[in-house]
Amino acid sequence: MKKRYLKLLFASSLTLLMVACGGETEESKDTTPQDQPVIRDAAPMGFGDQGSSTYTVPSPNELFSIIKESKLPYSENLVSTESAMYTSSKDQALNFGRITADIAYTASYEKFNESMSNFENLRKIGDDLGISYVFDEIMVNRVKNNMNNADSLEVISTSSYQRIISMLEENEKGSTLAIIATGGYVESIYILTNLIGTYSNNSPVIQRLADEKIVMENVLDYLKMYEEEDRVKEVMSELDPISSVFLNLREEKASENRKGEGNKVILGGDRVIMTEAEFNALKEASTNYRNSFANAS
Amino acid sequence: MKGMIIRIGLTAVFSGLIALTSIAQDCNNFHKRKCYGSDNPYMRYNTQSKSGMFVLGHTSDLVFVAHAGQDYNISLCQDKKVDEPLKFQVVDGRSQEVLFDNQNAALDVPVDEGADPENTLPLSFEFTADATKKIIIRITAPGPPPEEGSEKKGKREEPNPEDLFCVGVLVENMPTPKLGF
Repeated sequence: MKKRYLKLLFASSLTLLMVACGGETEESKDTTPQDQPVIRDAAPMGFGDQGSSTYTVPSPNELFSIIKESKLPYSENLVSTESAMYTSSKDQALNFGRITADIAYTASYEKFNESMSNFENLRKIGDDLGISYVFDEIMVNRVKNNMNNADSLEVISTSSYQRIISMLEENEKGSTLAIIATGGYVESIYILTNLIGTYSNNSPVIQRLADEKIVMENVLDYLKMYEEEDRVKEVMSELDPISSVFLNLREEKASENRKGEGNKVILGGDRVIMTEAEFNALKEASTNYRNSFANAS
Repeated sequence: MKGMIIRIGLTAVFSGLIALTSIAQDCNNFHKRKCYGSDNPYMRYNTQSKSGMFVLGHTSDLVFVAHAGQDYNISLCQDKKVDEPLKFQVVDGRSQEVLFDNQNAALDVPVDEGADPENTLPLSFEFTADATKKIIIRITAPGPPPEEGSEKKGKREEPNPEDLFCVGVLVENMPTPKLGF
């Protein structure tokens, strides 16, 4: 009897500990059974919570700071600053990512009002997603007090993104983070393809877009780590029209690894080739998918 | 007597689990607290930086994307309580070619007289990305490899909290400086 009692006590304590520390519990105020995240074991080893390898995705800020140098003109109609409600945790996470990319975009073009409105929208979706704790008072005040300063707007946008990622990692929101990264990635591709508008041969910015194939591979590997969750499986399937364009892009050897001035290591590699038809297909696929979740309210 | 044994047993189980969990959470953002990074003031923190919890002998990969036209600096840091240095490789994510191995690179680093060469492995690597690349940072913690069958999907079933420690990977980047006029 005592043994049975002990076993029960141990099992329930272990479960409690796993729920408290190991995984994701309540993701959304309005979750459907398919949205229920999977509870994971505590104490994962290495960098990921799903095994010995983990994948990272560059922040949208990284892409837009590089794009800024290309001098593409800002386009007002690409991003919305209107607030919307999303019911499923999948749409909330995708749109959370979408808005982080929008802020990176508007901040890189020094658009104060748009950046501020979208920061408020991000907070609202964060509340719905159950991650309002990422917006603490210090961060909110810092954003509000510096939004009119052109020099610091981009820095604030980048540091806010870093802080959000750190807080989500601290709270072990792995699969939510993977979907957020996907939303941010899709929005970045949508904005970039629409900013470019028309394909031109040998354009550095088209080359930059084609290079996003490598990021796409990491996005897919990142999502695969959580593919047992239905909402992640859905995102992977919805992403297919975009990923199939990227994954089919041809590559050719561009440069070798070598030593540069001062013995500096230079890593060469392949150049990804994007044709006009592939550009147009990517533009259409990213616009369609982006609109499908941005307008899902 | 039996009750006392049970109480001691339960306390031990809980202490072990709580220690394990608190170490896991302490490792988050370890790189921000402990890794020094580059001296170059133009280098900026990259959000692909990450920390993890390691057990002696454990190997883990961090796969990140390096953009063309950027310089990168990768710096590692580890808990002080681990005396031996980390083994660290930078691997091409596509070809699996080892681009940097700190054990080989250590041969190029002058060793102080009387110092243990094992403790002088370089823990940073700087490179210029000429093309956008998938880069694997492969970290092996010092010590014997985990026993076969003791690992399940990257998680050891019963790690001793004493053997656990944090490892941080700080990634920094900046636009590659243009040379000449």
